[in-house]
Amino acid sequence: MSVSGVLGKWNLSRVEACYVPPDEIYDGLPTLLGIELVNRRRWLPIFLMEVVVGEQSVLFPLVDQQQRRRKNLEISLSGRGRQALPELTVRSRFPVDFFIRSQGLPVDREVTIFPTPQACPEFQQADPGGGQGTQQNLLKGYEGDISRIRDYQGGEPLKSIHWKLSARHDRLKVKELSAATRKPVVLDLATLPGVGIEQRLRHATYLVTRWLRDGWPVGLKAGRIELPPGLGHQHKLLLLQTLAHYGQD
Amino acid sequence: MVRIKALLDSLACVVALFSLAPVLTYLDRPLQLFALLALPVAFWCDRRKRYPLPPWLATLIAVAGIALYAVQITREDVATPVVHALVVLLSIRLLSPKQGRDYLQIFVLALFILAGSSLIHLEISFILYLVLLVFSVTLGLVILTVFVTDKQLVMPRRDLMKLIKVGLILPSFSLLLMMIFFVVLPRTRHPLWNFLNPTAQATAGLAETVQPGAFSQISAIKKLSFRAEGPELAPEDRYWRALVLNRSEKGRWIRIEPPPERLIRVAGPRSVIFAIYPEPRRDRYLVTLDRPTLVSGIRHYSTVDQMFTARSDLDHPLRFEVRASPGADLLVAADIDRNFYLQTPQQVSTRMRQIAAGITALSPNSEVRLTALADFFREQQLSYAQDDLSAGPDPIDDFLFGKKRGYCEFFASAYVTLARLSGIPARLVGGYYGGEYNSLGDYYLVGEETAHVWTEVLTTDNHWRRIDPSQWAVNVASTLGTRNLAKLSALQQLIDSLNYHWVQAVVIFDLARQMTIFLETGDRLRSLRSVEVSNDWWQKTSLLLGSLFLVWILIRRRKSPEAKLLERFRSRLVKRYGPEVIRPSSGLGEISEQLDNDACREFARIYYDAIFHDRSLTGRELASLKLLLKRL
Repeated sequence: MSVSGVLGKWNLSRVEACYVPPDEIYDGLPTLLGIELVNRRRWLPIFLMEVVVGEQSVLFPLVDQQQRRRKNLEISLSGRGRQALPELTVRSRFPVDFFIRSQGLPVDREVTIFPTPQACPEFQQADPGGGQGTQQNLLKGYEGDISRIRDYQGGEPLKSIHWKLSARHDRLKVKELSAATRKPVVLDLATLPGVGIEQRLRHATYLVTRWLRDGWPVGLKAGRIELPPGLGHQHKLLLLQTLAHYGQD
Repeated sequence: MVRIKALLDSLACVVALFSLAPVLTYLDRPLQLFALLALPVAFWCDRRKRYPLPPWLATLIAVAGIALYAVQITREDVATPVVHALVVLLSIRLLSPKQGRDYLQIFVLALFILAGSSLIHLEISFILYLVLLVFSVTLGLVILTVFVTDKQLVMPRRDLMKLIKVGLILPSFSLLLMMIFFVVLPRTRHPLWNFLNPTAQATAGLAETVQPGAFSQISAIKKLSFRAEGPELAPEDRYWRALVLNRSEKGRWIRIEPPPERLIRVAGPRSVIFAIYPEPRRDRYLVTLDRPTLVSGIRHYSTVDQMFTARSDLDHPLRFEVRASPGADLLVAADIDRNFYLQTPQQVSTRMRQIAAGITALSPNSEVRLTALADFFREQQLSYAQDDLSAGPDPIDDFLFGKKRGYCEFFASAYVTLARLSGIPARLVGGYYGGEYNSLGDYYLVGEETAHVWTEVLTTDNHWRRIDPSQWAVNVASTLGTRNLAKLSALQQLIDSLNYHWVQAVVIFDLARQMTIFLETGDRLRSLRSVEVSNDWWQKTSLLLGSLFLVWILIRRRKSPEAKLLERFRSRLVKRYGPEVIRPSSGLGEISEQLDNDACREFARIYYDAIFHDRSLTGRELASLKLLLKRL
């Protein structure tokens, strides 16, 4: 009993854990929250460690010494803006299932939760820029449609190689893509349909994610904040964070 | 990949096997077969996940089994039926579907069965099964914990091996602690279950009378009587004394309370100490080496004719010590009642009386008479034999003058009768002669088949002297003499040594020995304080300091190679640029920028590359850093 007590205590010593939240967490929507367990010990692996988050838990059967392992836990968080994740506790029955030992671990728990995307019927079919679709750009790019196929010249990224076609020829072929651009659009929170600011924020979140996915450069006007239209993941996060914190500062 | 449930099932079978092995031979034949069959069937069922016994039937059979063996419990034997019932439960449990607590039940039942086996027998194999069971049950508990945590878990073989390796720490330390507790924990002098099976083991014992001619042949019982730990003795000194017979009644020699006599001293040149480990026996005679001077380590009674009897039964293994002077005479005071030892048997043949009369007429000196008596025995050409023995109305006369065949009782009875008829006080001494010496353990192994009877005569100058007339047999070298030639094979010696150490270290380790150890430790500690400083004190002191230093090195907190390198880096730079430039608060990058030194910069780059990626330095990186340190 005493030896198992000592082993059990060792198993909980020098254990660290941290949350690895995904880039986008939406209010009320289930998301996969990453949990990383770090073994700082020099000799002993971590055995049978359960990481408890709220009422859920995830099991790490073994983490080698000086190593880390990551697992995901499906979780739903509510309330937009800066929110705290649940406290993180580790517990283990190791080595013998007479006792369950547990301890809370200090972790960085703050995350930004974006408003729940809510479809906006008024903008469902409409062209945000008022135009009639895409405009073909003559410049080469990496996002548009295939404009032509040519021989590989040495400087092209590997992802542009047309493997299927290259297999039929005796030399590598690359796809030359056109750069697709759409007319930029700026969302004005004040003019969006919806009852109250929360619903408008939800509509705005929906439109930002939808239009950026479709390739529209999107800007935002929310009160005094004005963000110019742009594309890309970082821009999307900036827009969503602005919407998440709107009215809370 | 290994499925935890499959591993647990196999472990349950292994645990059951280790617990059944020590009791299997003591089980009823049907239960023996059932238990033996249950193991492979359970293994097969676990693989197929199909079980022959539904839960209700399993419960029914278990209850029936318990009831069957419960009615067999008697006051004399509780252990055997209980063990039988436990085996039934274990076998049933193996043959039923298993979940978490079922495995726990199997482990507990296995431990109970092993504990129960120690009530039936306590052989050295117990320790083997105990160790095996401790290891397998503890490992089973660890694996069960994994199973309870996640019933569907499948682990890579590599991870599982790591788990098992760490899990093995548990039984290893547990066994170590068990050894310490075995010595330290208080215990009773008598096993608690003794009142349940009081004398089950006591079978051997010395005959308390000598009656030559009662049987036409005797058969030797091949059974260990006792072990005697001490130095190797000359063949003529291997007489193990147990009881003294002093009166002949109706053709038998018996013992009656001897008259008081005052012992003056044991007249022997040397003294030896033997530790005696008797096997459990019916009687209470304590066997000593002839001539005993002191018996210690056991509560006993002693008599004037050097018989020692224990105050309590000898039905459990024990140990006592004997100090003896091998082959020495016993000097007694002159006021000894000689007439008591001169009483002759009622029935003595005329021939014997004539021989005795002839010897008496030679001289009043006992030495002359004893020599004549020895000569008579030699002249008779008597043979030492255990079959075709003298019988009839006067077997002693027939032994001396007719068949001339007999074993020690014939020789001793004839000798004592003739000695007494010749006016020499004499008595019979029963015990053992010979023994096989185990040089591995430095002890004698004395069997019941070496039981022997010899005589003691009182000389004119009041010395009791041992005389063994059997040694005058014409065939003594090929019969009695072979007892000293009997040698154990190396393997027999090894096996018996193990058994001997088991008995010595475990079975007879009782409160008395615990107290002895504690007292001896206290004495040693006291004597340590008063020890004088010897000439080699500096050697001992340096050895002690060296050991302490080694321990300090081992237990001090080890620095990682990275930390050690950084320490060396800093101290080298402090030496070169001074402490005002290289401040303790400066970071590695800051220093390298400040000094504008390529080696420093390279050092910082390699070091940070490892640290910022949260990994240890590789061998190659360590080598480069050491090289850079030299350049600094």
